Order: sequence, then C-alpha cells, then structure tokens
Amino acid sequence: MSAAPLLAVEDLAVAFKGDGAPVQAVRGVSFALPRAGTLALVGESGGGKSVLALALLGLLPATATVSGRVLWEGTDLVALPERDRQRWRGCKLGLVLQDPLAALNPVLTVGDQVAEGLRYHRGLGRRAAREAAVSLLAEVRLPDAAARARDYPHRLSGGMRQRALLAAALACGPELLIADEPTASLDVTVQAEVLDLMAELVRARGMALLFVTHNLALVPRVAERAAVMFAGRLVEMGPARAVIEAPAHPFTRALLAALPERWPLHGRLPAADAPGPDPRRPPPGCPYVCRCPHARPACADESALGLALADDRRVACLPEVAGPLARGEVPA
Amino acid sequence: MRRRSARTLLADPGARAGLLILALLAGAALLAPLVAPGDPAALGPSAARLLPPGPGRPLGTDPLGRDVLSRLLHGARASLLVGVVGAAIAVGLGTLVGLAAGLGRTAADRLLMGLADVGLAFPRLILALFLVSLAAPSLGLVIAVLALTGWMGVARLVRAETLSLRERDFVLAARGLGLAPARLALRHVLPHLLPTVAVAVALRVGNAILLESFLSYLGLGAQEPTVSWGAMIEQGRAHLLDGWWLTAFPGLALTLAVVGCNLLGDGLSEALDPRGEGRVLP
Repeated sequence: MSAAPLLAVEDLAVAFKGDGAPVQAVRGVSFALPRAGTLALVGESGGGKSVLALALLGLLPATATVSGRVLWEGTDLVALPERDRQRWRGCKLGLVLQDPLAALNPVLTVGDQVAEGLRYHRGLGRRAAREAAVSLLAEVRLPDAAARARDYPHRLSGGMRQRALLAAALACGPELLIADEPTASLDVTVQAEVLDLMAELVRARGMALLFVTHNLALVPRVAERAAVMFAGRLVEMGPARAVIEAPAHPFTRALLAALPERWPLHGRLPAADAPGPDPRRPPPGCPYVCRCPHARPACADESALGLALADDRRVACLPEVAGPLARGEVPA
Repeated sequence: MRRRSARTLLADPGARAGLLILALLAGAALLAPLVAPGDPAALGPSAARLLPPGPGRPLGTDPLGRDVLSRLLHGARASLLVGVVGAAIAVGLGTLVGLAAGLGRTAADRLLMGLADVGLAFPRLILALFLVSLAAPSLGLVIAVLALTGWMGVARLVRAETLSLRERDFVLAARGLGLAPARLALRHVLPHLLPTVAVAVALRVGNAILLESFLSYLGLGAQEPTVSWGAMIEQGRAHLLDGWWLTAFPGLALTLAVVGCNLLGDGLSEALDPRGEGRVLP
C-alpha cells in the first residue's frame, strides 16, 4: 500500500433530508482500496451498505447530502460535477445490482443491454456492439451466448440474468466493480457459481471489487478483506479470514452467530433482540451499545473506541472488550 | 407480447369497428381526388344550386352548385390531417415534457408542471380562440394551436408514470452504466410509456378533429378554397331548413370520425394493458 490507492474513502457521511432531523445513513466511514484489491462490505439490513455503495457511484437521490471525500487516484469524486461523474460511472466503475430480473429492462434484449455502455461510451455501431456483447456474454459463460443475446430478459433463468447483468457492468472495462448483494436472490448452488465466476473475472481483469453483502460466510469466496458495518459506521475491518475466524467486535460475532449453517438442525437461531439506534439521533460513541452484551459506560466515549489488532486490522471497540474477544476469550 | 396485443385488439368488437371506421375515412381522404365524382370547388350552373340528394349528386349540391359528396371527401383530408398531426404533436410534446419533469431535478419538475397547470386552468376553447386570433387563420395555425393547447394532460400522465418508473432497478442499473439523461429517458424509460402514449394519441385525435371543425366553423380554420367539415357546416348554417344535407353529412362524418377514434382508443387501452385486464386509462 505504498502507492496511492485506487479508491480512498475519507470520512464519508450520507444524510437524507426528510421530516424532522436528517436520517444519518452513513457516518464517518473511511477505507482504502488498492488497485485490484477486493473488499467485502458486510452488515445487517438498513446498516448503510447499499447507501455507501450508491454514494461512491453518485447515484443517491436528491434528498441525500454527501460529505467527506471519495478519492479516485487523488480526484475527489464527491466534488466532481454531475456530467463528469456520469462518465466516470460508465467507464471506470461497474455496478451489479441485487435482483437481476428487476435490474434488466424488460423491453430491451439482453444483447442490447449488455452493449448499451459500449454504444454510448465507445460510440460502437450496432453490429460491432452486438458482437462485443456476444463475446462478453460468452466471457460470463452464458451458454449459447449468440442466441441468448437476442432474447428478452424474461426468457432467462435467474442465474443467467445475473451473468448478463455482470456482462453489462463489465462492458466498458471498469477498474472497480461494485456488486450490491449480487446473489441474494439466487439459490445457494447458483449463488456459489456466480460468485466464483465473479471472483475469477475480477482476478483475470485485474479489477478492484467492492462486494456488498449481509452474508459473512460468502466473504472469503470473493474478497481478501472485509469491512463490517453497523448503523452507518465501520465497526471492524481486516483480512476476511481473520475477521471471520477471530471476530473482535461484538457485532461481528453476532453476525457470525446468526449464520444458519453454524447451527444444528432444529436449533433456534439467535435473533437481534433490540432495534438499532435511531438514525436521526445516533448515540455518542459506539452505535452497538443497544444490543452489546459487553456494553459499559466507556462505550459512549468516542475517543476510547478503537484498537489496532494488526497493521491491517482495526476494531472500533473498547480495547478491554475487543482484545479478549479477538483471542476467543470472554471479556471481564 | 406485441402479437398478443394485436390479437386482443382485433378480438374486441368495439376496436374492430373503430379501426374499420377510421380505415374507411382515411381511405376516403387519401383517395379523394380519385373517387370524388367531381371537383369540390367547381361551381355548377344556376340550375344545379342547392339541390337535394338525387341521381348524379348522391349528397346534393350547395348554394354555389358544388357537389357535396366531393366536398365531403376532400374535406376529410383537411379534417383528418389536422386532427392527427395536431394530436400527435400535442402528445409528443406532452410526452417529452412529462419525461423531463419526471426524471429531471425538482426545480425543472416544478416549473414544467406549473406551466401545465396554468395551461389546464384555461378552458381549452378559450385558449385556442385566443391563440388563433394572433395570426392569419390557416390550417398550419390550427395545428400549432392544437399542439399548444393539448400537451398538458399528456405531460401530467407521462410524468406520473415516469415517477414510478424511475424507482425501478433497471433505471438505476442504466444510470450505473453512466448514460446521459437524454439516452436514459428515450431508450430506457420511453418504451415503457408507449402503451399510455398510444392510447392518448387515439383518444386525442377525435378531440382534435372536433376542435378543428369548431375553429373552422367560426371561420378561424380552413379558408377557401380548402374544404374542411367544420367549414362545410358553417357554410350550410344559413340553409338548415331548406338544405339539411349541407350540414347533416359533414356532421355525420365528424361524428363517425370521433366515435371511431374513441372506440380504437378504448380497445388499445385494453389490449396494451400489461396486466391483461382493465384499462390503461379510466
């Protein structure tokens, strides 16, 4: 990490205007992503993961206020005028959304949609774009790509649609792929297939990847590093394996404990027993105190939070809690 | 899906009747110079003035001895052309405004919808009368007036649908591809609006034909020697009692055209409804 990273997010915050106080969906998030680096953003629903992803792309609605900086090799995207951001989105950033049927336009053929970016950004003609689309579809291993390119999305299966969506996002050769829960709507076997394909393409093309998911178990499959988000803040970040094998933040532990595959058949899954903090009036210090079994008065003190377990591993928690947790011990 | 819509449309007796009526009228307008028995502007000898329908003059003659059937067929050209073009421009304009308002910034939305509301606040006839009085009457002016007074309702309809379309994931995905707003609007949103727009055109053509005949009736539309149905009714007004055929036939033609448009519009709204039941428009 000696060279400037591809993407450096600095103190990013997103608030939505509405009735009463603004909803603070993302608060003070900072992280960096090197060229060809892969990062998974993990958290529960409503934790601000998707809002963060859309903020990077500049696709939030007009009611959102974004502050902080998103530096792309030194260029601050947040300050960029919309015209430039629009170009940035298509050429340097690729987006894959969660529900592939909803994300494909039902009135355009699959091939037209895959070719759309090429035609607009590269000015390719109809024929050339069509050929490029077919080879992209073949690259995502859509069987019989030439015929599928002429089909409308409703004729494809869920996994095929997700591949087509991936092909559309890859068309202009983005340097960063942002995948927002790309497999949440697929069944487990197809999910694994699509994830492996995505990881392989990311490696082969030397792209960076930001993978948004609620499922910690998927993380090591596609990403080297993991960042855990709760109530709009990053609570833990580090190498994906280390975070999963030795979670140091109580929320990461709870998220791991909620994975069904870790529980015996017919056992009861642990469920969140309290709602998250009010996003209009977030508490001072750690947002997780409302559910944390190890909560103590010092948690409200922002400056007391934070522990570096290793060079590339940080936890936003009291050292006397996170330290023992990371070693697998119960804090006093 | 398109084939299914066409079949649904043809299965509906109302829509079939509407299509038939409009096809006949359009055929008459297109072929008028060939099928009309005479020149619509040729004055007849004094003995041929104001004759009731009879042999050689199926719909009678007017006070100047001109053949009413010939005038009716030629009048179809002006009436239908002005109605169709005027309504098409109005709907096209309304669609663009609605798209811009629905996809654009809040300020643009407020401005455009404010304009539409101001336009809708005036009765259409009053607005049309005011506008045609600004220049010398001609069919071109009538078309412009139809367009300028007819876009507001469509704009509101299209904006409402655009607002719900813009929340759909495929629009977000298309924005994620970094497309310019115009390409996004025309290629990714507009195709979803076509059923609404098609129905709006069909229903509004009838309305536009009526408005054109109204303006021509007041002498503010078609000018001699151009014939239109409205102008024919105006010319026959003085002979309501001794020359009923002067007003009855153009009136009947107008009624048929409007009924045909409405039947087709109704049928279209049913056939193009993506849910396959009910209607696009109430």
